[in-house]
Amino acid sequence: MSVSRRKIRNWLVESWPWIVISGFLVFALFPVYWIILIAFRPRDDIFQFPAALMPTNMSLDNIRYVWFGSETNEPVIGFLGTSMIISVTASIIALVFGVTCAYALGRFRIGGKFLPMWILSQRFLPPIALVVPLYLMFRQMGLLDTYTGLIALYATFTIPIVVWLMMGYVESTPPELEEAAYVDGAGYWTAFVQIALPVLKPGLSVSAVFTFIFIWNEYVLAFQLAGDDVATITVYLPRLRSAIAELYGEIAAASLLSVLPAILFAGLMQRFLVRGLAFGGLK
Amino acid sequence: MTTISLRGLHKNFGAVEVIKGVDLEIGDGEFVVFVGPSGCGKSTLLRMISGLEQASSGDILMDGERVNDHTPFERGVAMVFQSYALYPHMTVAENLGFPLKMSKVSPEEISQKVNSAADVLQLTSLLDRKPDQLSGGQKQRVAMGRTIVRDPRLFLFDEPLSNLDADLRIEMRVEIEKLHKRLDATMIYVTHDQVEAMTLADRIVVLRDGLIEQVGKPLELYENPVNTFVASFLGSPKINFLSVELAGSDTKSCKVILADGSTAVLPFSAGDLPVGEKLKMGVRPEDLTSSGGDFSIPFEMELHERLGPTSYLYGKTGNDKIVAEHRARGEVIAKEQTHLGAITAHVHLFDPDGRSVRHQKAGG
Repeated sequence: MSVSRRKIRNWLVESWPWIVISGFLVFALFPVYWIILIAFRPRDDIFQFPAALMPTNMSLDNIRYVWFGSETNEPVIGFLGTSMIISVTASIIALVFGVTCAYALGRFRIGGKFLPMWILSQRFLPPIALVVPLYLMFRQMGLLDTYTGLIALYATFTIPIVVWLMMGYVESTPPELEEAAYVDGAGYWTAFVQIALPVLKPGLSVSAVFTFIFIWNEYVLAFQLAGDDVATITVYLPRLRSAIAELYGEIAAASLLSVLPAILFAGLMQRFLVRGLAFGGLK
Repeated sequence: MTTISLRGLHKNFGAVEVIKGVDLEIGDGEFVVFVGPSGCGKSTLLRMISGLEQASSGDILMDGERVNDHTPFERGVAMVFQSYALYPHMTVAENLGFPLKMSKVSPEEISQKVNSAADVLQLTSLLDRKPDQLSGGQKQRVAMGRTIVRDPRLFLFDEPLSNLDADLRIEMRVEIEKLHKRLDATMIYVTHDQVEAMTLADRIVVLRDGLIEQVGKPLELYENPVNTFVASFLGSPKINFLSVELAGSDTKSCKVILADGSTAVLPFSAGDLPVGEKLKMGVRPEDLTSSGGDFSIPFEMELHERLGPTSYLYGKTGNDKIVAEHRARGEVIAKEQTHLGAITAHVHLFDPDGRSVRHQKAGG
């Protein structure tokens, strides 16, 4: 009796972290599971009560309606494409400016302590606070419903994030590497591109994932500043919930399709998030 | 042919003055070691010579040409960093070839020079490895290889051995010595390790608080330190300083009173120092004997350490701590050693400001 009790107690002591984590996972992943269920269910099954927790009558109709479009909705592919173009371009711009800026701030102490703080302060305001002035500015400059407008906006919004993330990486890599390159005959730019950047690759990957996902998921500004010509995937989703019908199956299918690129990109980048590369050449 | 002249060099970091006026001439092919405690400015001085730090004022001349505004590459310097600073994403071969690539040397020539440098430093089998696959000693060799591939005018070493363990440090020290002999190039080496300084240097530059305390050949500095700082910096265990009082002086000798009231006559003049002046007498541990000597120093033994070839006697004389070194293996040390003998020829005397009395006379 006491032996088996002790066994149970030991098992509990060893496995309680797993029990807690499993609880959180169920809590966090159940909505995702539910979206998957809805996406692959016919409309009638979606509203059945009590709801079936296991897959039943699975069909690809919702995915097909979303992918190819139907009389109630436009095909999703155009919106995914728009989101991809905007996210990739704005991320690249944010990375180029953000990394060079972080390098200048972290390595050469340009702007002292004030400038990095000032750059971060750009992110203190919630984007919604800027919607009205941005809308007026965009309308005045003819940037409403354009790729240029959204790309410029998102790049501007994500540069501070990149700067702050990368400054930490720059400061934690030893300046001797670039100094050795200067002694070896490299100029500032060559040392930056050929020595510092490869060493900063883990930080670059993290920044790329952050900016891409931030831009891909952004809704508030996109909703206000996009239009019929240039609309991102986050703008597409609520359009499915129109006055005519609430296309829950299509919404679920489109949601699934919309998270895939972000997950794929994060997965791809994970390969580069290797630590320790920077310190192999030292000590 | 590379000579270096430093003239009135100053360096400020904001309000802090790190180098406070350095003048130094370094001859062609000379191996000069900058030595001093942490924060004395030795690394900053080296970085100023390399071109990685700009001088706040003063001139740096290489072969008579002012190079203050030249980049490190234009100065033709090569440098080994304390952290080795190997490029972590490049192979050993790419690391070695990087300076040549920057000089736009053809790939064939790069490969040939890299191979020959690798041959000299026994790196041939490691050429395809990345730095994180190398041991400390191998990294050190690659860092040295990177300096020799491009025939620099001047080699700079910034505490290159401080990350190595004791055995490897000795091995690499010998390698650096060999490298200097083979290349016959001008080299400047920074260390806080006085053994490295004594063994490697043609001349040692002792720095303190951004100023040169003394420049000279290793033994010259050891035998004739200008002040208590240089005297205590070189030598291990450190030189002993005993409180004495000047009893008299003429043109050739002076007489001092020791803690126990006994006197010693030293073979140099105390100059203008007044009788009764409190002075410090410097005696190196190896110049103290358990018996004999020109005069005797009262000694209260506290500890006797036997290290094999040598043994150390720790104790006190008056209020001063004292260490004596004995080289004679079989020598019997009395448990209660009451006196130590000292040889006057090796004794130093320092005035209240810490300056060597003997040196002031010798220097005029």
